[in-house]
Amino acid sequence: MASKVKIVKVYTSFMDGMTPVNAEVEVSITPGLPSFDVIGLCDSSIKESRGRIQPALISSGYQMPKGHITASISPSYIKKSGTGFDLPIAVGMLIASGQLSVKKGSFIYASGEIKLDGTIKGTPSAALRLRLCKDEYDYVFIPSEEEDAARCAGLTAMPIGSLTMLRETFEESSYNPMRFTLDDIGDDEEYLPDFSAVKGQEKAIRALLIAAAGFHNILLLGSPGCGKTMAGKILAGIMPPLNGSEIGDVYSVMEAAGLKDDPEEGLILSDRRPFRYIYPGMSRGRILGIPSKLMPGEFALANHGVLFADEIFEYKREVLEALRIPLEDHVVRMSKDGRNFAFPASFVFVAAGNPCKCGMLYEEGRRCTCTPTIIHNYMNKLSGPIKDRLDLVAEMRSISGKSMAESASSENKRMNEEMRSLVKSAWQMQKERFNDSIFNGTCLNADAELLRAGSEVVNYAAEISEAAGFSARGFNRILRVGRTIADIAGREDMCKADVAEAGIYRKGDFINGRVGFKAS
Amino acid sequence: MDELDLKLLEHTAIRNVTKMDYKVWKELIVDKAIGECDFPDLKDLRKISKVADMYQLTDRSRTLINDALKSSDKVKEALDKYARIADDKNIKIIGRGSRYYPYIWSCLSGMPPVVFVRGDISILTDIDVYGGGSMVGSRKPGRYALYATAEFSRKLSEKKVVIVSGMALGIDRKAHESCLDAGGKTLAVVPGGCDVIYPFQNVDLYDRICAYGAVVSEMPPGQEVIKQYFPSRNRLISALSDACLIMEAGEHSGTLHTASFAAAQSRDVFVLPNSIYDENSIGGLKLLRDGAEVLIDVDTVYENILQQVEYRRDRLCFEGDLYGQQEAFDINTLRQMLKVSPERLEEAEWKELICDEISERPKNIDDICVCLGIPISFLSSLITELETEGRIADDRGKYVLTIHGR
Repeated sequence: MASKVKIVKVYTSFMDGMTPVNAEVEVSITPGLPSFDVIGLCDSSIKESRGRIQPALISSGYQMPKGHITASISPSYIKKSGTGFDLPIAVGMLIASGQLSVKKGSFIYASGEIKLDGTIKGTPSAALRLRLCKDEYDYVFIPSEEEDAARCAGLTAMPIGSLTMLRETFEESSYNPMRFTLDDIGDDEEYLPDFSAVKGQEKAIRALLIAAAGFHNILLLGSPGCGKTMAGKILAGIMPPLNGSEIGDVYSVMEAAGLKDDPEEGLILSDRRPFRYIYPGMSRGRILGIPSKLMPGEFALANHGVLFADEIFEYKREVLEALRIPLEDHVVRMSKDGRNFAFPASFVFVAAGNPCKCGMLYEEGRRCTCTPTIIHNYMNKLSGPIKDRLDLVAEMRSISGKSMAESASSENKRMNEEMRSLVKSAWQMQKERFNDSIFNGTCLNADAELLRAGSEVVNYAAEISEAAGFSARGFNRILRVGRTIADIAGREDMCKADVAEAGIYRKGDFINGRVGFKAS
Repeated sequence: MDELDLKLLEHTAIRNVTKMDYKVWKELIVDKAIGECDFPDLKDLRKISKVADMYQLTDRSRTLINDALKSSDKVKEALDKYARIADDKNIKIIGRGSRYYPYIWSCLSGMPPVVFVRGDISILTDIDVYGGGSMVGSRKPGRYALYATAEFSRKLSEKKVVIVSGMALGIDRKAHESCLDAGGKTLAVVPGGCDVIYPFQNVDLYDRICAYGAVVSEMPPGQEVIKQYFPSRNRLISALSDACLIMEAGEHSGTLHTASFAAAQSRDVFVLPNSIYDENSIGGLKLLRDGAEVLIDVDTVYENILQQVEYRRDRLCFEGDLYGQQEAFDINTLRQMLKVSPERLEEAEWKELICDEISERPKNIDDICVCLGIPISFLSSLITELETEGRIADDRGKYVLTIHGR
């Protein structure tokens, strides 16, 4: 006697590399000897789900359905892994066996890992996956742990903590989804760093402002303790907070990088601009990411924010040179299993270093003990191509105790706000120019017409480049920096003074490796 | 034409028309008979001959001076001719002591006391300030040498170096042409008077140089070219430059004269290496064997020139005659204005203030910013302009004045 096979569909999603994919879990229970099969190119983490589901159902007051259980996950041609399929399979089984009653034809979305006691856990890359989740579902269940991710995705869903909760929801028909939004993420001013560290260093402050306004790479040179790291933080602080989709981007990369399990950093949903710090001891994998695990590195983590490279002159050459292409393209590329993945990495690159071996070159008086050759060799640890990518070079030096005391006043806060509003208006102008979040420093093609530089301005830029010996890139970069300066001033068309100001931040001698010898 | 010009012309006429040779002049100078008068004309000579006993001049000199005085008609005639041509062709007359007289000659002996210039006179000072490079070579050069000449001439002129050559055919012509094409400044030292076009084929080049460069000669206007003049012209070419570039020289070529003059005048001699099978390059190769520098890239040449310029700069600054006169801004007034009404200061005036600010000691840009109370963005653009103009330079994070800034 052939009995009618009952098939239940539950929707979920999984990560194919770095791409989220919608999936359909079909569960069928046919009479027969008890068995449990999961099909659809699943790896052992999914096959093991039986071991988790069975005790969980029992401990939550359900029964393990009797019969031949098959769970088929489609699209079945893509290799899958991950424990997020536990919940959809369990829900499918419960509905198929009649333990949960759902109106026929309802769309259910569920994902999450089930623990033996019935608690539901979140799985990695939720923020990216949940973005795929559309409003057409009748029921959307997500693990409570993924609430932050749901906020990034702007999802309407019901967070559940355990299978018991799920049961109650259905028994009492109390499905009550929440609309997750980013609205209540407020500005927390507290993290804004103190301006006192760079007070009195007009050039550095101006350079930071330009870097923030146009996403220009910047190099800070100064003695130890003159406030370079602080300057980098200030840079992140004077940028307007992340917008909705950017928060999601940042959050999902943090998730993918496994920060959830990182006891120090943790995973926080916030509209702060990321400030990532790399130092010479870091491996290439930490900085650029590990392809075999598709784990993003600090570059991807710094997307939309600031990447601070401390002691830039001390990096191993191979590490530094590997940064060249990501710095230029604003994307970190990885390949795994013959497929290519790209992590966006559009950030302000802040490099910091000492101007010479003893570090005192720019200090007042004759405190530097380095010979010209030492200075020259020290500066040339940085290869030409890397130097060429640094749009702004600013010297810094320690400020006297007196000015430090002066600067610890309430004025700093006002200054922060003022700079932030300047950056904001400059960003607005760039948005009109490039659409989307592309900036003068990061756009791939910028011709004079787009930058609105007249022939007079271009000729003048050429004159400066000629005199200082810049490369073609250098010429283009000073035009871009000039454009940012014009944006800060709110000028539609660039003028000569913009380019002239840009010229001061680009040192021909430095780039051509002639620092330390008398300028001629 | 003023009195001094006429005096200079008369002096030149005496030198050219009479038999007074360098021995006589030397005696006159050594014995201080000339005194304060640098360019003795007939009147001065008359005075000298009257009191000749006082100076213990040799008999030969006395006779020669007397002969010269007797032939004063001839002198006058020559003077008239010179003056007429100089007026017609707008030839400037520069004597030792003029601010245009090449400073680069000050430590050389045997340089003419008077030179004649047609064209842009300021190029003579440009040599002192930016350096000069002479390029000489064969009149029938190979393609390789011609190509190199064009290349070096262009690159050097892009660096503002004045290209000096002799306006002959071949290498000389190419050097001038490439320099003019590149918008550089060029100076032609010609063997005859500077209104005499020699060789005639170069008439087009001559016009170009007159318009955009300068033609220089030690010979008085209208003087026809004879071959004895060439070596002395060659000595001026090397004397007017900091580095002498020998582009191609045959075994017995006149170019070698220039090279030996250059060596004697302690100019750097660079020789373009060429094939040993090329007859036209044997002279140059021998120079290389004798220790001349090999011409490989422009940077080496330019660095050598710069070094010479630096030495000169220090002395120029010290003596301060070239730039002292050009001071257009009264720094004290500007300082006062900065205090009272900084908004009325113009860009050029701000620049003066910046230069003044760093004149005592090099300063960091932040310090300048504070001292002048000027917004950093404006200050930055001014500093870039000053840097591009070459007036200030970045030295270890601080700004210093260059020669042009002083």
